[in-house]
Amino acid sequence: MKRVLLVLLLVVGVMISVVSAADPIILRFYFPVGVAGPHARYMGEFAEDFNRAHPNIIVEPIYSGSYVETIQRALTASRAGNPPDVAMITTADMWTARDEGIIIPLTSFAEAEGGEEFLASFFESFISDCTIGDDLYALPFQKSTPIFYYNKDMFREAGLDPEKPPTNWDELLEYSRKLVVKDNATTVRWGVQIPVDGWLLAAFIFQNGGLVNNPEGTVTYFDSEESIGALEFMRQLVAEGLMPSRRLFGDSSADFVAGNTAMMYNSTGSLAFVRDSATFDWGAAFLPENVKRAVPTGGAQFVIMSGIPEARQEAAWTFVKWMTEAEQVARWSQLTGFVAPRIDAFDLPEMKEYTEQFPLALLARDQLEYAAGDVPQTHSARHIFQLMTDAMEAALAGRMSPSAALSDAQQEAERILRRFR
Amino acid sequence: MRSRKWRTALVGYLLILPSFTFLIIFTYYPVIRSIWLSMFQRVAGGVTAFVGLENYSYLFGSSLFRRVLTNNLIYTLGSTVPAVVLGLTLAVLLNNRLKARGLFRFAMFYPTMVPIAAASMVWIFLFSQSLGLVNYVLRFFGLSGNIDWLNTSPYAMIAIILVAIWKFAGFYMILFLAGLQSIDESLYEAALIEGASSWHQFRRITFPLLSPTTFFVSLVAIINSFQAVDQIYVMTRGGPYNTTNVLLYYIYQTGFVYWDTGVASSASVVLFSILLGFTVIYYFGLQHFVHYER
Repeated sequence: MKRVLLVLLLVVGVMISVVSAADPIILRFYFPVGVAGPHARYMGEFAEDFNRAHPNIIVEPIYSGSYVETIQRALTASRAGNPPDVAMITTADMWTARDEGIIIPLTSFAEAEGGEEFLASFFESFISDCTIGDDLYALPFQKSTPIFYYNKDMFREAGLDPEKPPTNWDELLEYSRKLVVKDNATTVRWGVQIPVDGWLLAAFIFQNGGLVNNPEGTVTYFDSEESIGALEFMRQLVAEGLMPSRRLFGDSSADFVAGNTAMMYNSTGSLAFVRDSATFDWGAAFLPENVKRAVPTGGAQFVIMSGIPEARQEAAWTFVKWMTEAEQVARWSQLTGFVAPRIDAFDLPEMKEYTEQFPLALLARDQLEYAAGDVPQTHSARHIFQLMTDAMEAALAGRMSPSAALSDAQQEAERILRRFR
Repeated sequence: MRSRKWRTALVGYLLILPSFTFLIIFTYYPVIRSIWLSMFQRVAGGVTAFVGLENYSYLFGSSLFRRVLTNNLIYTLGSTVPAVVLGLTLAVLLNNRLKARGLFRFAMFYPTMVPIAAASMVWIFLFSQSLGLVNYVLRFFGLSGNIDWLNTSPYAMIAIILVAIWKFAGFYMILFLAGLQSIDESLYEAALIEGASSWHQFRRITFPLLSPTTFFVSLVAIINSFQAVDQIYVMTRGGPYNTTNVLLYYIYQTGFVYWDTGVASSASVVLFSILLGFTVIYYFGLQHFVHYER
């Protein structure tokens, strides 16, 4: 008996010494999959490549569900004292994570890499999505913007030039009237679809010259003249029977490829789906402008968690930095259709080849010149965002006037944000 | 003598100790913790502050929360009454000596065994506006079959209620069937000799003697209706315009999407009070209203 125990002890001892000799740092990385596709497999390949190039770090990618589920898991795991090391989360959730104290600022890491110069290779608006106050909290990875999709065949049918999509709100209204197909009073084919989502309400508010929130993230401007005007315009599209009152992003892209709507607003993330499913001639363009040309941004970025040893945070930075290098973001963009967050990624030969074959991928990049940032960048951002979506939903369905819906949203936002001033 | 009594009591306490430990850890402690948390609110700088009953006054002043309570009431009435009536009807019918009785019972009980989240995914397709079977059937019968079920009000709530009825009626049927077995066969024989019609038998024998089961099933149904969250999460996420947002979904949304722990805890306390109320009614009712043949 004693001998068996001795042997066992020896075996365990040898095992421990083997493990500690290699001594790699193991990083747990929560990543979400926001849209359909084999993204989880790609992420595994990226981690493998990183591990091969960095023998002293092992990254374990852990699929953590949707964007909401990812922040839920990160927060609950952190509260239970068992945080992951790296996570990929949205801008809204980055605010929550900062307020909950579960992520660390990356400013000093970025400064050690060259500060301004290091960050200059990223698109400016994406870096601003990663910044709260003066501190950098994340590095951008899979980003997106809304873009405008239209059915060129239907344009020809209606006597419109298929190479000239609407460039402003007036044209959007006019084209919708020409493209809609009605049977008596009921619409059988929609002129345009704008999915019910705060993201697109924000696009119209920005285009109308308004703002969603102040830079400190403590005040919203939902009851401003610009915001109300934006929602009134959208309501007019519904009231005239040119647009359905409620569609979600997925419904709209399904309607578009099925020929049930001539035009739609949707994410750049739907480019691949429309490309693979549409059986007709279609195009994509910048969002129509009004007072100015503007577009919100979306997607997710990498954060590094607090409550883990400094050595692990440094290893996490190595991983995050590697993932956001030009080669990696270019590859990710080609695989998934997300916008690569770096300017220099578009100069890579393989990216050039890709954009030549699929020039619409450049459209999203070029639109970034007019990017007004992710929305909302406030405390309790998910709650504020839901208020925007609820207001849009209620107004478009005609349950409330746009001004009443927005003033309700503003009042509720005041109550939530008052505590953070 | 006294020490013996004491020893019996001790054995009793020891026997309930394991389950009581779990009840304390997973039920009573969380309830007390929720009450405690409901009096705090997160403020700037990542700290929480004591706010007293402010979260409650916010809840009852909030038009959304009032709508959520109303929705829950509509859902409760809309789902429990038909499901219980249907369950009772099926149980009485399938208590007769039918051919393939087991098969019918199984078919009716089947929805209970399907996880509701998975079933809801299927129902999303059935309720789809252009491809869905529900609209197809409506059109087949010459009705307007172009309803956008999950995107318009009141159809979204109707859809949620239909799924709940489908899901629970079979389960209530099983409970009623169990109740029916305890009714003495000789009562029916006597009624038959007297020449009572089957409706008369149901009204005078089955229904009164089944009243404890009916009472129990109704209560289970009501409590179930306050625990509805899965099919709402999968099918509508509370939409459109919060017309299918019920209490438990509201708590989930406030607590785990907005991370407003204070308000979510207050809403949990409200839910707890409602369920406690029903439990009290149940035990009170058992002693006073329900007919027992003993």
